[in-house]
Amino acid sequence: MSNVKDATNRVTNEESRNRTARNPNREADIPRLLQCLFQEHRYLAALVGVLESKAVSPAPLRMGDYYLLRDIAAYLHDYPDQVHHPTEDVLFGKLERRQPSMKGAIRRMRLDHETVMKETEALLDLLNRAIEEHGKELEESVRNACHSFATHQREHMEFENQTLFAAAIEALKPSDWRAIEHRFSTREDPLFGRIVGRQHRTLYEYLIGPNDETSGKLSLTRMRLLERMIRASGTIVNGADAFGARLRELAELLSRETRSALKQSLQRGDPVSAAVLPIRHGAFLASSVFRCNLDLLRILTTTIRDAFAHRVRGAVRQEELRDC
Amino acid sequence: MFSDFLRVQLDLTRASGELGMAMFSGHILRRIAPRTDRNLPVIALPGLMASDASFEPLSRFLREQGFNAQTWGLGRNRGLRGAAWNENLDAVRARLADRIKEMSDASSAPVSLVGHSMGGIYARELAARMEGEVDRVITLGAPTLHPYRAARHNQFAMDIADLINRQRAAELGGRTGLLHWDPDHPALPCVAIHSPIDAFVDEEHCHIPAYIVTQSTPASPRENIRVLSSHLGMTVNPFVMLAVADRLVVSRDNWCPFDPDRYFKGLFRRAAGVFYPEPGKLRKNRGTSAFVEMNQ
Repeated sequence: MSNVKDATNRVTNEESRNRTARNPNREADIPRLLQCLFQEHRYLAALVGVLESKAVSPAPLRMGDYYLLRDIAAYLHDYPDQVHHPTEDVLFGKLERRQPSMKGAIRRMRLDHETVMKETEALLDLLNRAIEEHGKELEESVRNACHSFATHQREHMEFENQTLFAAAIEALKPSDWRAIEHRFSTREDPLFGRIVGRQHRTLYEYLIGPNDETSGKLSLTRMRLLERMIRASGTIVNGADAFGARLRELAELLSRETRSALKQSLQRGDPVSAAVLPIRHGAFLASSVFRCNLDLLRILTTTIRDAFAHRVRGAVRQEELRDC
Repeated sequence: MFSDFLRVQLDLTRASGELGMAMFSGHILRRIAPRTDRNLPVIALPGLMASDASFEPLSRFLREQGFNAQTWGLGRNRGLRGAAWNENLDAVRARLADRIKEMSDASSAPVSLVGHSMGGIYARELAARMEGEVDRVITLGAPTLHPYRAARHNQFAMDIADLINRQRAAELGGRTGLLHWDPDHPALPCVAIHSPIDAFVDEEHCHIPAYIVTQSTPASPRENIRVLSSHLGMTVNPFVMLAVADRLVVSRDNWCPFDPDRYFKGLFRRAAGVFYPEPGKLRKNRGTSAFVEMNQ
């Protein structure tokens, strides 16, 4: 969802740049209709940001992602294609009459609206097919389509915000704005309007819910924790193996020595040697256990060092990511 | 996953504390909670893998307050067991239909459904299909299953639920998911009781979205009640019990929001305020929504 924020900020910044570059005190003078169009661009930029974030996401697309992308495309087809773009076309018609020098740019935008509409329909078809086929074969096509759609939409909106809307503020007269508002469809936005349309409820509740950044961080934390546990468990397992091998070795040594000592004492007929045998073996065991404990301490130190080093590396990596 | 497992343990510990609290405060609760003499029928639907016994403390309390409270009588809630959601729900409806009719005939009043966790999802979906036969729905920590994101709930619990259901929870509701009702349909009151310390389900997906509450009509009121309670202990928590009893007696024609201050006085009122926290308090930092970002 970080792209949502980026996109929103970008549009907002450009918008404010445009306004303040001309006259910092003129924000209130922007006609209501144009304010609506700016606001709709902000919403569109956020939705386009979601499309792009899913397109470039390293995680494989799940069914829920396809539903989300499909619902965004359906909304884009339902409202911006049917109401937002036609309103802009009317606005550009007025602008063309007031400022003939903009004719080329306006023609380009009108053609662009037709292209955008066709692209939305194509994207919707593709996503519907992907949902029917459970997205297996079409994931790459969906990603490419979303990415190119998002890039085109963003360029389109940037041009409108920077060039045409700015020119309209300068060129159009209040009577023009009134005429456009008369022709402006009274249909309310079914997603961002006062009443949320039933068909867009899931998308709306996704947008009002906490953004995906949080869940992304959670899963990253989980992954880091898991990785650390795996690393630590690897070291512990290795240490336990070494510890087991050492114990086996000791047991073999002990049984070998016991057998040979008993044999010797019986051969010599020396019962005193046989009697001190347990003391000798006790001393041997004590020294062995001491060595084993030293081994365990070494294993523990290595584990802690590994875990700490991993944590430090994780922190450095986080710093790097933050810098990026 | 490990942290989610620990959260489940913590929830279990809290639930045992709540059970103890219910045992000690039972007589006070019975004294202050609203009573009815109309023998109002209530059916309680247990959560996933919970049996009728899980609702026994709440049912007993409601019976003592004059309600005709019974559990659903279908034994342990074993989830969907791989069946399609709609088919399963129709089967539950068919099995509950006789019981609902019998109870509403006996009391001459429509039945209210109280569902905990997955039982709450059942209650919500059943009531939407039996609008004329159900009076109101109260859900206790019942999540929604959003089609894009159902993984925000406790992952450990969700994995177990997936195993029991033999289906991923994210896919249970299919394309449309299983969301809260619309503001005006069905025309029944719906109360969602949710907790900020619920370790199983995400609070954001338990409460009815604010825009639905705002747009709801007097004929179909939607209400959220925030109670400090564990997930497993919701059926024994005395503060939840009080809220449930209050919402069951409130008239549909004269619906007013739940006000815990009515039941507590003086110092107790301040103490009770802790257990009914306001929406802003105890909120986890969940990040801002895209919608808020867009409007900034």
